[in-house]
Amino acid sequence: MPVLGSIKRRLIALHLVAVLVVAIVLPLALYWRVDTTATDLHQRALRDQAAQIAPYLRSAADGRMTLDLPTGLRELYSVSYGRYGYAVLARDGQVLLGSRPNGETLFPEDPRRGSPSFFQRPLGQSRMFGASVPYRFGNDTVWLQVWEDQEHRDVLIDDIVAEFLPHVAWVILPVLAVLLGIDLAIVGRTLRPLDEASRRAEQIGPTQTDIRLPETRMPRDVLPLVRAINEALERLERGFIMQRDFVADAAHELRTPLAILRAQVEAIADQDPRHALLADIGGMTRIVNQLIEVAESDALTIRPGEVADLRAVATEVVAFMAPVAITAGKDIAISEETEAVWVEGNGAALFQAIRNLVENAIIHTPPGTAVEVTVTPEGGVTVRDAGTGIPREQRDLIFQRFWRGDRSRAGGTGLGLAIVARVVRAHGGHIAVADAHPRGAAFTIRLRSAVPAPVA
Amino acid sequence: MRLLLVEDNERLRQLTSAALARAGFETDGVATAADAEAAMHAISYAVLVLDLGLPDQDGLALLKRVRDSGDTLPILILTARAGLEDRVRGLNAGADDYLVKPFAQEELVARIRVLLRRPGGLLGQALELGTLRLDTISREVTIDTRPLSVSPREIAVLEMLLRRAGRVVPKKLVEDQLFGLSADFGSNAVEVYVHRLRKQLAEAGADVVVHTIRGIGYLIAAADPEIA
Repeated sequence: MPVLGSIKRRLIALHLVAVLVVAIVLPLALYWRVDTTATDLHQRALRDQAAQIAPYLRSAADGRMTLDLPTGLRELYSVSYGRYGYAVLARDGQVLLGSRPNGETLFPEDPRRGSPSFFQRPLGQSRMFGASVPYRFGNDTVWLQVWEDQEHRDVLIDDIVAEFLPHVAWVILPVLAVLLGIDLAIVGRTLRPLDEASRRAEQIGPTQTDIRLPETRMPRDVLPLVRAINEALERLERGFIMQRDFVADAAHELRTPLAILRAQVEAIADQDPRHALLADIGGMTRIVNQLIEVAESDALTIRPGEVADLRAVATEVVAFMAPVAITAGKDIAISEETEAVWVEGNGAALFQAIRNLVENAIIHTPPGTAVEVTVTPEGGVTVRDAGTGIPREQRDLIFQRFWRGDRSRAGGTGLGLAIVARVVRAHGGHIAVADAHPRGAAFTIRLRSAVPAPVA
Repeated sequence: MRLLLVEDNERLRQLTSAALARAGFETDGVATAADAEAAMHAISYAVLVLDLGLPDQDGLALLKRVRDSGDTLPILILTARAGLEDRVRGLNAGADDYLVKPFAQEELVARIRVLLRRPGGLLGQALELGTLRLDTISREVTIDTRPLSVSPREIAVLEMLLRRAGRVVPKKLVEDQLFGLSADFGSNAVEVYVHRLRKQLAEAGADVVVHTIRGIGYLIAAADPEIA
């Protein structure tokens, strides 16, 4: 359901349907109710008419029935007036007397029940409504019928019924529209904590495990779900931290055995095996160090307002790595930019990132060539080597963990560039690799400039 | 010259003590912070080499107590912890240097020598690297005992390089030391001295090389170093 995907949309759509149904059904129901009431009133009026006439029924000496109405009533029921009429029916249906000159009744189909019954039929241009009311008369029962021309039905009641629909519709529809608007606002307001929780949940990732969904203002029926998610996140984070710490602890634990191994190897008198073994221990040490750095870069968060002098950090890295480069028969240099370059970030972490780039560059640049580090005033640092460079199709892959361009080449753990990428990402920075001129790779880290220098 | 080595791993302690002995240092090795304190009460050591991960307490706590008691002996930390914050924490607590495991015994010896050569340190006045030797008192430079004739300023440069052998000496530091506040020197004055020094060392057949780290400074190292 792409259209009705969200709770809010579903509620609004269903509510709209409900409002439409109410908008149609409510006027119809009200119309039906008013119409029924009007008919009831009308039937009661007819019964009242019958009750008005009934006392004037008499039994003549010859046993025949007479109706001697007073003047006012007699004129009302006169044939010349024509709008009202009456008839008296015996049990066998015979018309005992009536207002019509031919002695017939308008409603010969009278079922003559023990309770009043009502009829209607057209007569000429108009429509006649009639009622038949049973009366005890002597030892017998007669049915007194009265009728009335529809034109004379209560005009007010009919008008109300006729006018009802449009009038009521004009009141009900705006009320329903206003109600719909209010409900939209209520739905929006009620669901706002859920919206916020959803937005927060979107930020959760492998590097952001400390996020929790907000529990304040959360509806009580959703709260258990939110709490359950938060508890799951808590367990997830604990597991993640435990795993990260385990890697770091294991790596730390390896350092002392490596130190013992190294001390023993250094005591070997024969130079050739000693050099080979020391190179191997150097490689293992690098892996151990990088495992620790991976764990650290995963835990790295930059505190707001934390700044570092990129120029000073890069210089420190070059000074730190210079002995390594020289031992390997390679040169290293840094651009002679003397001004401080302040960037947002953690100096120690940036040191690690740049050191990894320089370490890689020293490995890949051929003996006799130089690794060049350049710092730009905009908050960028570039590390160039004169090696074989990075093929274009591998440039996205190299920042993944345990990816190695040339698996047979010694010295690479496949972790260095992943650490660099992770540190740069934690800084909100950017890393890219390009060709160096005339040959080799150029890795560039760009960081966010920090304008104010910190108070030392 | 007697050093105190505090390291709880017995084999590493023995191997390190042996290496230090080969380098000419008498070494007392202990495994716990309590033993270390007892030893330091009994003897005045020239250098304390301290492992941070000790069985009875954190090495940093011991370090802090030593400094709080007013003892200024050089302290070199050995540690398996090399996190982002660890190094800073160790140096802030009063350590003079910091070496992460696994380390080259040669590096440990070199670092200890640097600590001992500091003002107030106990090591003699000679700076040596390979066959090169500089007597800091008589200002004589020799290669395989053959004297090398160099100017006082070149000797000053060489002394700074040798005091930090294997590490980069910033050019700015050399300028400040040579010329002080005087602005009366050419922008390439230090380069000229280094160039001459390098030439003379090469001509005399020295087994050391002065490297230029462009953008920072200079570094003196043995021509054929052991793999670091």
